[in-house]
Amino acid sequence: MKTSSVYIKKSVLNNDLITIINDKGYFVESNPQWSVLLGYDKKELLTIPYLTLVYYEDRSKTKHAIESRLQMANPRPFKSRMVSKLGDVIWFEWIITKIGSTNEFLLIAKDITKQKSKKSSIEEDLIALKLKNRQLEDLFNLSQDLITISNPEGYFTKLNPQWSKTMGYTEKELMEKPYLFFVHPDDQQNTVAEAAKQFDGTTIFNFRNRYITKKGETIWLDWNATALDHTGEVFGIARNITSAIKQEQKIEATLQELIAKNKQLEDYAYITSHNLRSPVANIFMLTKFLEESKLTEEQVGYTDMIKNSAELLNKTMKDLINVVQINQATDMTIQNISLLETCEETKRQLSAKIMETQAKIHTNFEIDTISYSYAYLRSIFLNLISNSLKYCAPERKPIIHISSKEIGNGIQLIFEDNGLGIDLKKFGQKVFGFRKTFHTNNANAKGLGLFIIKSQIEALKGTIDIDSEPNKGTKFTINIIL
Amino acid sequence: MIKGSHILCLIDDDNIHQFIIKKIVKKLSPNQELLVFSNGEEGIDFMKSRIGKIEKLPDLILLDINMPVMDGWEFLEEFVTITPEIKKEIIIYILSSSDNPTDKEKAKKFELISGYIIKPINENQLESLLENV
Repeated sequence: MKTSSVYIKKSVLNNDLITIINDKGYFVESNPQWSVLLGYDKKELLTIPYLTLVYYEDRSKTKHAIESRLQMANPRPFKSRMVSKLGDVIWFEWIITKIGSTNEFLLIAKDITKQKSKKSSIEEDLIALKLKNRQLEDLFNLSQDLITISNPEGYFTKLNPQWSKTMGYTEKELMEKPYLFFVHPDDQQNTVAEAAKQFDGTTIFNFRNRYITKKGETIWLDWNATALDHTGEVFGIARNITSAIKQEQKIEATLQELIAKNKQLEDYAYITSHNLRSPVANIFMLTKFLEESKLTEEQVGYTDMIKNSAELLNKTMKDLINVVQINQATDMTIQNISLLETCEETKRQLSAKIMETQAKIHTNFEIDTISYSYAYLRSIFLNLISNSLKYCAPERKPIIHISSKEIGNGIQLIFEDNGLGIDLKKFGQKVFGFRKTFHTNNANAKGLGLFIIKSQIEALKGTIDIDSEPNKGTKFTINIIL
Repeated sequence: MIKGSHILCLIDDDNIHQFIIKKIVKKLSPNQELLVFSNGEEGIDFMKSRIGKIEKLPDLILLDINMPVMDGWEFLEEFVTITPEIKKEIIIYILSSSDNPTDKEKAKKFELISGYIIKPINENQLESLLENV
């Protein structure tokens, strides 16, 4: 054993790998050539079983060869491959010499790659490469993602079939024009900027842009891309996330709707808060005055009861406000409604007032059925018709024209009367304000109707406009988006 | 106890509330002068017509928020524009039934406003307001 160690130390300059392996299969000593050929330093070598350095296909064969040779008096060399730290497979000729009586042995491994690889290794490598290539080709062709290589001139040079499937253009068509041609005009600038980043080697993740398909549809792509090398060719993989984006937009729209709804509820709570609180506050004070005046015992009893009732009312009102503030409105449900039927219902509801004023209501609904909130539509009809009746000119019978017609993205609903009108120069859009009244002679005016219908119409993304001239009449134009 | 030489002003559209305030004021100080207006426009028109006549302008204004024609906020906006001409320190309190936080926040933005009282105002509150004029 001592002699063997000396042998190793002497052969520092030898090109062969020389080592002593103990009976457990670990390195005891090794010469520097191990580091040169296989890339492992001495420390690393001492901690791993030698067998792990053997190419996996050759391991059991090698183990057998060594075991049998340790029994022989004059063992012959054998061939086996080892793998370097970097993964190179190298052919060696193994010479085994048993040391003493244990299973320790001296191993001399000669690098014979040059002779051996010329024959079979190239062939093997080629087969492996072909296999890998086929696997990659399958991956490329079968991928649901859009895979591409583009050149620095801004053209696609390779496209997988998913591109044609998604875009509707043939592969040839897609390669004929700069890829920017297919990018949505609003995203071209961003796309150019992102592409420029790749010239300095940046890999981009999750860059989103829109492409326009042959049919003219917009699709959203989510890109990961990286430069292949210094030539400026870029390898990119894009995922079609159009449906996910549409989902996102839908959620966003729903959210906006909810915010509008919420705002409305707050407004209602505010109205309730003010309109109910005022009289309750008055009742409190008046009861107090009553208490301070000379009352009979019976009257004191009634006063107490009034006070208790007012307190109860106050409490109920507060609870109600809380409920309104947190509750979802249920009457926003969109359904198909007939304008004519809604109008007839409203007329029935207002029949007493219509008889009293001898009003004539004419309708002309070019579009009759609309998808809308039933409660809101009723509210619009009720408020606008009752306003026309309330603010009719005393010297003429009220005539109300209600009509509907199709406009670009919805319908237009028009209410026109011949009543008192409102001085818009003076009041302008304030007519839709909260608790705004404009006819001082009418004690029933609360200034809520227009405020409420405006917020209802706007909650459903519509608009309402007023046109009016004092003592001529008023015209409300409502645009409903369908 | 209360000097009757001050002028008190109420701007509120609610008739009953007007009555209540009149009654309390009369009880506290029978000779107290009280001006009553039914909305902001009436109030501001009066103020404008008394510019230059300091002794005819109120010392204390109790202002409601929600009123027809011109509400309390609009009154304040108009009032701010005429304060340089008024040359009199007028104390303004909001007296409203609204306990809406938005209104209370909004009131804080007006430097002219000395306080925000939620209806009903009681005798003691009104008394201390009058005493501090």
